[in-house]
Amino acid sequence: MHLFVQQVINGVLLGGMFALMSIGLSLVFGIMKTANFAYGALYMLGGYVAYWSSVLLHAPYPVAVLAAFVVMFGAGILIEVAGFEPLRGNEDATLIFGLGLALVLRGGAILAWGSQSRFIATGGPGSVEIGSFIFPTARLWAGIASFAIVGAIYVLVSRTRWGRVMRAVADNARRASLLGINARVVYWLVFGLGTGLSAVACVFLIPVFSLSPTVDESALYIGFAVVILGGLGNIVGCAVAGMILGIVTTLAYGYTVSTIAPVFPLLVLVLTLVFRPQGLFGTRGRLA
Amino acid sequence: MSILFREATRRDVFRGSAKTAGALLLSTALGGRVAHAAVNTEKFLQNGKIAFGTILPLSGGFTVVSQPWIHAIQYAIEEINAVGGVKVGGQSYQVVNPIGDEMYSAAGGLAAFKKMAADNVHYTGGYVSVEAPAAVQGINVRNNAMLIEGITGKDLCLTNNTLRFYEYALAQATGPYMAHYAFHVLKARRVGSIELANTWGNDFYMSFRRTFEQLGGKMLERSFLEPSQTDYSAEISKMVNAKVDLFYIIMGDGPGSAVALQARNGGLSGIPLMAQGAWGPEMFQEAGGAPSIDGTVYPGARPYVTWDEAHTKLAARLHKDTNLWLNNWFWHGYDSTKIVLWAMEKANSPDPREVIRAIPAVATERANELMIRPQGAVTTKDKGVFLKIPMWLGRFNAKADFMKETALVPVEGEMYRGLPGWMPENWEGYTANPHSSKVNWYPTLDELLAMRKAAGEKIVSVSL
Amino acid sequence: MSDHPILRIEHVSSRFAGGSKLADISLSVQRGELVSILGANGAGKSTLLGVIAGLYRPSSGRILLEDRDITGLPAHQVVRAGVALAPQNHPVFENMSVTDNLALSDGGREEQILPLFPNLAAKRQQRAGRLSGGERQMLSMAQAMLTTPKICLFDEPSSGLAPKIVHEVFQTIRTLVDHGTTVLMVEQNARAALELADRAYVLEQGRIVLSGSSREISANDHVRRAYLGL
Repeated sequence: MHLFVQQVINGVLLGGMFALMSIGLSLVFGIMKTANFAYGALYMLGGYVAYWSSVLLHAPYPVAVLAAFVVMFGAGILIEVAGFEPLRGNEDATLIFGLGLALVLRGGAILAWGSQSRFIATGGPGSVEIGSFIFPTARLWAGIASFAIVGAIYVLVSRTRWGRVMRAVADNARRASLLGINARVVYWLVFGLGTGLSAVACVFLIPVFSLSPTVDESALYIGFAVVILGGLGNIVGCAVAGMILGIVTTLAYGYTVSTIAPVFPLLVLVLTLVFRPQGLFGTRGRLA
Repeated sequence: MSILFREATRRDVFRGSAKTAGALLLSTALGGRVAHAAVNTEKFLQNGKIAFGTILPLSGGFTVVSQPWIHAIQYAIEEINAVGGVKVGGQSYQVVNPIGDEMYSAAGGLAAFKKMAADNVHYTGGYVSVEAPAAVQGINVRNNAMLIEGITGKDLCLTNNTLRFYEYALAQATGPYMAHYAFHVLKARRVGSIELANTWGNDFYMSFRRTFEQLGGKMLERSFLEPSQTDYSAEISKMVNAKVDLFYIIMGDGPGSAVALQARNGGLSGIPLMAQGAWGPEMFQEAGGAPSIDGTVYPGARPYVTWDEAHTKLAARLHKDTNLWLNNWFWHGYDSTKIVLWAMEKANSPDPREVIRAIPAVATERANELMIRPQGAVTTKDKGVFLKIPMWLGRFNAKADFMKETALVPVEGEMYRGLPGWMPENWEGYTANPHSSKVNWYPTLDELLAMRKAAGEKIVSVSL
Repeated sequence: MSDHPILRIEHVSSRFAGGSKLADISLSVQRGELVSILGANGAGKSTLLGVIAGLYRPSSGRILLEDRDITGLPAHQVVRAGVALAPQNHPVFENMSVTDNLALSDGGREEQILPLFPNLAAKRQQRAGRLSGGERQMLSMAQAMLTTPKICLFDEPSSGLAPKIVHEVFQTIRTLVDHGTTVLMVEQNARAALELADRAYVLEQGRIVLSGSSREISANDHVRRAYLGL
């Protein structure tokens, strides 16, 4: 029983990390309907921004997080303007552009920085014990960040003027433009925000998973799994789906062997799509 | 593929072999033509030069593994070319080094191999995945091409193949020593383990387990991992719950260090770690990685535990070329390339069928010119040649300056220093079907020593 | 016609506007006027409003808003310049409340505008997706009004609505005009449109074939036959 509870705790923490990984993707998917296949690569790039600002500029951890967000926010806008915007409406081209960009970024990262794993030390104890349960510190922070960001995005989208504008553009960009809303700028900012948040997620996960040019893969796969399970573009769905996949993954690894464990979260995904194709929280076009 | 590398899972192998089956059929038709043509000695030369090909992934996550290896083969060839090349039949030949992309897959490795075979390349080294060499093993003999690779576990490396040269130790030989050290020196009684889910991981686990249990220890919570896995919290919590007093990580490269890091942060902060697989300086060069794997006990060949001018020179060159440090992979390519090229001179022929027979003599006679100091080689009747390399158990020193000193400090105790990393020549495994249940595939340390004694095997002590 | 209309369209043509073809259209709307554009399906009425609102770029010609050239400006800038379009089929943001829908375009004039739409005031907390067709049209027009426009463009305000509701919608439009709003309206219901409007243009196959006061247009034989069914 004790072990089971510990595994559930592990699952919740992993779920928080999964949610964190997918918030940026969900935001862009929900508002812009853009399936960004470069998401994982941008996530990875954000990690490197934090890593190099920490190593070369000796930036403290919070500053590194901020730097990653700001730089990748700008990079996101640039990629939207130069890449996704001209292709909007052409889903094949969008897909290929995203995949191509991912390949270029990953290959470039390997060439520029090598393929070895990098790490940002956060200091302090590796884990804390509450009762007799173990909470790895880095995962705890990632989980806290995850819920803080999900909460902040939820409030932003559902309670603020800016969020209202985002929802309007998500629903019908042309109608929104007829009310004086510059949908292009909203897209830029949303893509920038999504990319910036992916970078923040990566930085929070470096102390858990380390950083290498190939972390993009898991971020992309997990991101899409969470976003699809939660309901496209639903931020709260993101958190819940992350949690479900985290717990299912952990229990699967805990009570089966690693060769078949990955099947279980996929099974949850497939079954959900069979019985609820719009995802857990998906209602057409609903965002928050 | 190699003992030192991240291997694919059993599932990957199955999946890969399905794909390979098709490729193999095709290759029968294409490869056959090449094989017939290849008997002519002239054909061993490519424009008057000898070709030694490298087949390794050129992109993706495994470049951290393949880059040092690719460069190691290249440096070895350059050194030999610089002193006049390979002398065969009274003539000197320069060696060229075509490089093929393994793509970490059966299809990639097979395509690269077949291209080389068609170009009269009769020596290919490298192979980091399990799938690629498993696929190439089906056609290398027919193409009269020598496969120079690491080991992958008995199921794959004890199949029939006369043109295969394993440049590394068998798991069965070192596992018992690891168990002995764990029990007697680290005083471990309850060992938890996680292994790469394939024949390589299984070999290490089983050979460790036989001896450890015989000594009176317990193996608990045997766990498996996949190369693509990133989270190990479930497995680690099981170890914590089972109160293991030593954690054995049978996996190298990124996943290995991730396991170690997550173990340290997940409740296994105080117990010793043992490891198998590739644990180069990259694994703990970063501040966060170092404490998590510092002190990990890991077996290495001589170049890992000693350091001289040659190391310094090669380290500087490799670091300049790749930004990486000397690691396990490097020596794989570096020494085995030299052994093969020297064996050509010894056999006075560029024909792999003759060259492979000359390897044991070269490995004995020229051992002192090599970094790994082999003690000859085991020539099997139809399973290829296994190099006899002495192994040292060492501890990782995270504080080492990887450009100037070894990262692996040999442990105390005579028996763990320079232990034989090969199975005795009278071991029935060398001749049996790898799936036969009659063979003692995982002898204990006592059984191993008895076998060596019966074989009259002389183990020359190697001092550092 | 005075010399300073609010909206002046000069020789506008549009070939690839994503809608119907427009050929050399010129028209103008004076301050406080309600002008109707009549025409059959596919005559280019909605395309014309789309070109004015900045949804499509004309291939030639000029669009002037109080002497300011707004030709080719993107839609959101045209809105800011003072042209508000309430599109056909009254699309609203269905997942948002009526209040949120209104807040999107609110320039702080809600207090003045909302009393003109009494039906909406009672349903402000409802999700816009649950409004009836007539209420959506009201909401759509209110949204347009809230952008503080110099001129409102209404595209087929009666489409898809029950006759009783159509009457209400036209009443509301009349009220807006009586309160000083300038309106350019496209409408298939020619009879109602001519009753409501001060002036009208008749659009056929992308060309203006007739223009004049509502009375003149109503009296035209062609219009009587083709549009009024008399």
